[in-house]
Amino acid sequence: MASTPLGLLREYTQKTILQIFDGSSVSVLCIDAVMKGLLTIALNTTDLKEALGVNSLVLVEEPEFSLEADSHEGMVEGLGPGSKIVVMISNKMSTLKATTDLVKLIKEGETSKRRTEITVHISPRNTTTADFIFNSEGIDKHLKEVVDLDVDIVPRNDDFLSMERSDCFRELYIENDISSLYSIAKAILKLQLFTGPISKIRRIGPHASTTDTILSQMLSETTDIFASQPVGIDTLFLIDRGCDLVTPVLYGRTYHGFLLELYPELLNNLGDFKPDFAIDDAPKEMKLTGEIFDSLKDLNFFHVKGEILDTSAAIKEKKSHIKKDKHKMTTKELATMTHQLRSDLDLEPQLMFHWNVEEVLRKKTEKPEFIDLKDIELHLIKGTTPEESSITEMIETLLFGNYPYTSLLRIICLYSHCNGGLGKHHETWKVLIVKQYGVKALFQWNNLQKCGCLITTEKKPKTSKFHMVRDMLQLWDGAFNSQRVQRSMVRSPAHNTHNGFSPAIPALIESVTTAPDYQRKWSSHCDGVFKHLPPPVSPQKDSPSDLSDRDKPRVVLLFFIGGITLSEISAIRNLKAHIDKKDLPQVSFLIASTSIVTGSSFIESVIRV
Amino acid sequence: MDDVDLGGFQSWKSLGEISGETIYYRKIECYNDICWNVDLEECIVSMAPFGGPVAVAGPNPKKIVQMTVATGKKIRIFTSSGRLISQFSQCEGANGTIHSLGWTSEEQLTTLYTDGLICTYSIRGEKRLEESLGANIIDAAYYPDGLVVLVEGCRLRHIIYRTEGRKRRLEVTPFADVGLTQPPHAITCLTPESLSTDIPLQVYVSPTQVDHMSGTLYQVNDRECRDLQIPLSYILRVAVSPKRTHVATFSREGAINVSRSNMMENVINFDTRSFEPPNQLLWCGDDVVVGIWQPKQVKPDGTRSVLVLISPKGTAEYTFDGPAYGVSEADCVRVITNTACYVIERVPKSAVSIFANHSLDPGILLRDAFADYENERASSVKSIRGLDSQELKQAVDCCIEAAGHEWDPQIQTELLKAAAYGKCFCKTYDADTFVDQCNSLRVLNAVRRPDVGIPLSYGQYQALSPVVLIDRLIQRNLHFLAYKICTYLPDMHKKTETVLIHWAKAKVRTDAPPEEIVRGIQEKFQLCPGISYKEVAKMATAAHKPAIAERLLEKEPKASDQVELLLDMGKRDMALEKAVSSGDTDLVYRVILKMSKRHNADGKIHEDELFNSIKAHPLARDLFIAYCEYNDTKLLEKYYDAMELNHQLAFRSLRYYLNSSETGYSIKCGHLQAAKERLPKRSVDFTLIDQQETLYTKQTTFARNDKIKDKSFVGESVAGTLRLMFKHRMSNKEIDKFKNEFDIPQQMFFWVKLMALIEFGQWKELDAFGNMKKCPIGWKAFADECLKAGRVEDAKKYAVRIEDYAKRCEMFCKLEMWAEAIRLADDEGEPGLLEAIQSRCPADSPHRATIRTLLSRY
Repeated sequence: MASTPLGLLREYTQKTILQIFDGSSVSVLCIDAVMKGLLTIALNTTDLKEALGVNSLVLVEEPEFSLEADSHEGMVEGLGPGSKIVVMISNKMSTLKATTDLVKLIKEGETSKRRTEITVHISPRNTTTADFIFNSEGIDKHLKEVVDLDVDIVPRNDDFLSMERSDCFRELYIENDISSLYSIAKAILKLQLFTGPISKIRRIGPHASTTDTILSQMLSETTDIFASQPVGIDTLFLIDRGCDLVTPVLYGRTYHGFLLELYPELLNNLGDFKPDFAIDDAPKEMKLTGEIFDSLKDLNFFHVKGEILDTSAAIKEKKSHIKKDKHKMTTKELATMTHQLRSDLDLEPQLMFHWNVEEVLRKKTEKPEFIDLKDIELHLIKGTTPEESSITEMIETLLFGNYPYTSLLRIICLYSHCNGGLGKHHETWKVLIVKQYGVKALFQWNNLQKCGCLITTEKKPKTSKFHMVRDMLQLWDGAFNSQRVQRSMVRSPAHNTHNGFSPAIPALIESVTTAPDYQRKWSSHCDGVFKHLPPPVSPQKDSPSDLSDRDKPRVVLLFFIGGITLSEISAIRNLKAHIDKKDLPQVSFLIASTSIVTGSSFIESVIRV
Repeated sequence: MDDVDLGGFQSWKSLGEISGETIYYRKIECYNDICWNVDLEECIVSMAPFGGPVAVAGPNPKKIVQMTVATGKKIRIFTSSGRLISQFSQCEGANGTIHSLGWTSEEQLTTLYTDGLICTYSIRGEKRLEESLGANIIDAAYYPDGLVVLVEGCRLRHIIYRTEGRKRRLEVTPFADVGLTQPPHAITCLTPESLSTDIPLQVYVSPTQVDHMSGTLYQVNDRECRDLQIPLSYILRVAVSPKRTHVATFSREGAINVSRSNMMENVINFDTRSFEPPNQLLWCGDDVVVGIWQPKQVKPDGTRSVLVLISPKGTAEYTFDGPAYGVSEADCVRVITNTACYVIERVPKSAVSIFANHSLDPGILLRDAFADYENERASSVKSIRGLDSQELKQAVDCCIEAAGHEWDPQIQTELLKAAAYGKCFCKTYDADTFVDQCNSLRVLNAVRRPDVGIPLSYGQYQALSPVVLIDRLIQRNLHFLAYKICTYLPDMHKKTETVLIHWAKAKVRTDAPPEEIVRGIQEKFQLCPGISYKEVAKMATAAHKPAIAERLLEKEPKASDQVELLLDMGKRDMALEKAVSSGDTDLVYRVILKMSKRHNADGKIHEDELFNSIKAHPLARDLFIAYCEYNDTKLLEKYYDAMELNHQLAFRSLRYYLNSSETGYSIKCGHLQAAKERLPKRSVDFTLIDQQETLYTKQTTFARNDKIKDKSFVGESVAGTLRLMFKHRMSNKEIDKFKNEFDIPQQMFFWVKLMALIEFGQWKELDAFGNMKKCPIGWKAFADECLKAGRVEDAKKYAVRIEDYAKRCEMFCKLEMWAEAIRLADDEGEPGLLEAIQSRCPADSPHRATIRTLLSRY
C-alpha cells in the first residue's frame, strides 16, 4: 500500500503526527476520541503512549476527561518541572470546552517549581471560536501556541478511508452545526493531492450540496497542485446520510456487521477479538484481519459457514491431489504446489477461529429477543404483514418488556419510515416511552424527530416514500436464500447484505454506474428517486453527457457524510466483484466516510442528551 | 599616466597593473541634458544606491550662497535622469532647517532637521514616519537600515528603522559616550552584515584637536568607545568600502590613507597635496577610493569639480562642469552634475579582452570574425576555425559577458550577435546563459531609459534581483513596465499580482468615476486569475470610497478576506451574508462573535441587531444557538424570548431541571413550572411535564418518608417508581392509587410488577399474582421471565397456561418438557412442530424415536 495514493496519505499523516513529538520529550498527550481514532489507525497501534513516547494519555471527553490507566490527579502530580503537554483535539465545541477545563485544572495544580508548557493542536485548523473560547475562559495565556493539525482522514484499508468523527451526523442534524462539513471538504481537497483531481461531483442530500459549495470555494482559493496522474478520480459521490435513514437502523446481516452489532467495542480497536468462548482446538484470540477474514467479512452471515467449508475443502483437495499425483508431476510443479499448499495450511488456524466465531454469533442471534427484532424488521421492509396491529403489538411488547432501549427506538424509527409516519401511535408511544424511560426520553424523542429518523406525520400516506424508493430501486429481492449454493441467485450482490434487502445508496450507485449511458442516467434516473428520499433534494444538473470515454476504467469515490454502515461497505465491495465478473463498464470504488456506524452507535449518538 | 583612447568608445583610464593585467576605469555618460530646475550647488543632495533616486532639498546651510526662488522650502525627488518623481513641502512641524537627507534600503527618504525632527517619506512623497529626538542635531551618518546622529552635548544616538509585519517605526537607542566637547570632524557608520545584539553597529568618530583627546579615530558602539590608535594626525573624512574590508581617511595634512578595517595594515598612502578636504570621500567598488572636490564658490568662469580615483597602483582624474555629487555603488560610483549623470566603473575583463587594442584573446577574434561575416568576407569562417573548441566556447562566453556590462544597446547587440554566431560553431553549448543574458539586458535597457531613469549596472541588477527591481518600479508608478517585465521574465508570473494590486491601489486613489475605476480594475485583474481584491478594497475604504470597496469585494475570491474587510467597514450584515454563502462556519462565527462583542453606551450587547441579523440566516442562527448552548445560555434564552420560541424555552427549563445539581425541591419544581408556562396546555408535552411535576413531588415524599427512606426514587421514571414501590412492598391501595394517578396502562403495570417481583425475589407475591384467570401480557412472558431467573418449576407452571399452542410448544422445548411438547404437537396435528422438536431434542433422547413414529403417520 506504501506507494499507492492511500499509502502515501498514510505516510504523510504519520509524519505529521510524529514530527510533533520528535525530540520534544512530551510528557502528556491529551486527546479527544476523534483524534485518538485517527492516530490509532494512522500509526496502526493499540498503544499510543508507547508509539509516541509519552508518559500519560488523557482523554479529553465530554463532560469530563479521563486518564487512561491512572487517575487524573496522578497526571497532574506526575508532571515534572518544564513538562510538555500536547493537546490534540478536533474542532468541536464540546471538545474545546473540555480542553479549557483541562488546562485550568493543570494550571491549578502548578507550582512555581513545576511549570508546564501546553501546546494545542486543532484538527483540521485553529478557529475563531477556539480563540474566542480560550480567550474568554482566560486560558490563552497559559498556552504556548495553538496550531493547525493537518490530520483529518486516514485510510483504514485499501479501499476505505475514515475521519473517525462518529458524532458527525448528530452535529449536522441535531446541533445544526455544519463545521464538520468544512473538515470534510478539506479532507477531500487533501485527498486530491494524493489521488489526482476529481473530474465530476455528484451530490445526494443537502449537506452534500453544502460540502460541494465549500469545496468549490476552497478550490478557488487553493494554490496547491494536485497529483497529476495517480488514481485520477472520475466521479465523487457526496452522500448525505440523511437521505437514507433506514439502512443505519437495520441490523447488519453481513459477517462483519453481525460482529459489530454484538461486539460494539470492535468499532474502536484495530480488530483484536476474543470471543466469549471457544471450541477446543480453535485459537482463543485473533486479529480480525488476514486473508480469511477478508474473504468472509462482506458475506451474508448465512453464507459464512459454507465459505469456510469450501475453503477448507479446497485445501483438503490440494493435499490429496499432491498425495495422489505426486509421481506424475514434474519437480517444478510439485515444488510450486507444495509451496502453495504450505501457505494454504497457514490459513487453517484462521479458518478454525472463524468457524468458532460463527458458532458464537449464531448462538447469540438465536436468542428470542434477537429473532423477534429481526422478524419485525423484515416484515416492515417487505411490507407484507397482513395486520398492522400485530406489528404494533410486538413493538409495545418490546416497550413494556424492558428490551434494550436503542433496539426499541431502532424498530420504532424503521416502523415510521416503512409506514410513512407513526400516525396515531406518535403521541401514544411518546407518552409510554416517557413513562417507561423517564422525562429525558422527551429530548431523545425530539432528537429522533429533528434528524428525520422518526417520521411523525399525523396522516399516513397510502404508500410510504420508503416503499416507493424500495420498488423504484428494486431494493427487495425475495430470491435471497440462506443456502450457500444459491447465494448468487439474488438480482444483485447488494441484496445479500440484508437477507434480500439492498441498502438504498449502493443500489442507486449500482444502477447509475453500471448503466451503459452512465452520464445521462444520473440526471434522468435520480430525479425520480430523489424526490422520495428524506429530506427532499434535487440532484445536480449535469452538462450533456460525454460518452466518448465510457470504456475507460473509472475510479469512483463515494463519500458518506454522517456515517456509513458495514452493510453499505460490503454492498459496494460486492458490487465491484460483480462488475469484474460481468462484462460491464469497468469501475473501481474508493469509499470514505466520517465514520463507520452501527444501528446502536448511530441511535445512541442521536439520542444523547 | 595617459588616458587610453580605444576605438571611439569611452575614454578609459589606466590605474596601473595588477598581476600583469592593466586595470582600466571608464566614465560612462548615462544621461545628459538634465534639467533639475534647481542649482545643485545651493542644495542638499542625497543619492540612493542601485541607480536610485536623487533627493534635492534647499537651502544647504553649509553653503554660503543666496537661496534662489526655485529651491524654496521644497524637497524634490528625481530619477537619476532628472525626471521629477515627486515634490513636497518640508515638514510643517519642523522648526529648524534641513540638516541632511538619506535613503533607506527600501528607497525611503529620511529627512533630518536641525531641531532633531526625523521624517521619512516614500519615493512618492507620502510621509511614513515622524519622530523627534528633542535635541538639536550637530552631525549625522546614514546607513541602509538607519542613521547615527550627534546631538547637542556631543552625544551619539542610533536611530533604527524597524519593520514589524506591516508596521514601521523608528527606534532610538543611545551610544557609548566618546567624551567629545566639540563637534568632530567626521562620523561614519561601519554596518555589520546584519544588525543584531551580538554584532552591533560601529561608528568611526574623528575628534577635533580642541578636545585634546589621545587618539584621532575612535570606534564607538552602543556599549564601548575604543581608540583605534592610528598613527595619523586629525582625520577630516572617513569612508568605509562597500564590503566593509577597508577604511579610507583624509587627514589634515592632505593625505588619503587606506587601511584594513582593523586598522592594522596601511594599503594606500597618497598625498593629495591639498589641505582642503574633499566634499565627498567615496569608494568605487572595493578597489578604488574616490575623492570629489567642489569649488567653494561658483565663479563666473565656471569652476570645475574634480574627481580623483586613487588605487594602490595609480590615480586618475575626471573633471566636471559645476558641482558634482557622487554615491558609492557596489561596483562603481555614480555622479550627477547640473546637467548630466555619469557612472565611473572599472572596465570588466571581458570588455578589456574584446575592446583593448592590444588584445589577442579569443573574444576579440570572434568579434572580428563576426564583423567579417557581416561584411560577407570568407575570412570569417577561417578565423573561427582558427579557434579550438575550448577557445571558441571561451570567446562566446566572453562576448556574452561583455555584452552584459555594456551600456550602449548597439554594442550589446553587436556582441550578442557575435556570440550567437560563434555559438553555431560550438558542438555543444548550453544556450541558457545566452538567453538569460538577453533577458537581463532587455530589462536593464528598459529601466535605463531616461523616462525611467534607473541606471543599473549588470552587477547591481544581479545583486538587487528582478523582484526588488519590480518593487522599485511600482513604487515609481511604472506599473506597465513592471507588468511587462513580470510577464517577460521566467518565474516572475507570481509577481504580476503584486504589480496589478499596486496599480489598482493607485487607480483607486485617482478622481476617475467609480464605474471606470471598478471596470478598469476588473479588466486588468482578469489577466491574473485568483488575484486578491482585498488590498485594493482596503485602499478604497481608506480613501473614503466605500461604494468602490463593496463592488471590488464582490469579486474577491477568498471569502475570509471578504468577510474580514466587510467587518472592518462596519458592514456586518453583508459580512454575515458572505460568510453564510461561503459555507465556512468559522467565518460565520467570526461575524457572530464580532457582533456579540459590540456593546452600546450602557455596556450592553446590541442584541436587537444581532438577533435580527441571524434571524435572516438559518445557518448563522443555528451556529449561534450551538455556540450559546456551550458558552452563553443566558444570551440564548434572550434570543428565544425575543423570537418567541416558547417550545425551546420550555425545553431549556426542562434541561435545567434534569441537569440542575441543586436538590432543592422548590428550585427543581420552579424549572418544571417555568417549562409548563411556555407550553400550550393541551399539548402532550405540557401533560407530560405536568405529570413529571406530580411524579417528582411524589418521589420526594417517598424519599422523605420515614418508613421508606429511599432516595433512589428521585429521578426515576413512572415505571421505575412503580418498580421501587413493589420493592418496598407498598400497599395495594397505594400502588393502585399511583397507577390511576399516572394512568399506567394495564400491560405496563403487569410487566413492571412481574419483573419487580422476580427481581426482588417476592415469590409468594408472584404466585398470588399468577393466580389470576387472564393475563394481559400473556403467560409466555411469565414463563420466560421465570426461566431467565432460573425458576424452572415456576416457568413450567406458566408454560402450560400459554394460550397459543405454537408458543406453548416452543416454551416446552425451552424447558426441555419433550413429552409435553410432542403430545401437544401431535394433538394439534402439526408435523412441522414435531420436526422442530426433533431438531432441538438431544440426539441420545428416547423422545426422538417417538417423534419418528409419530411423523411416520403423517
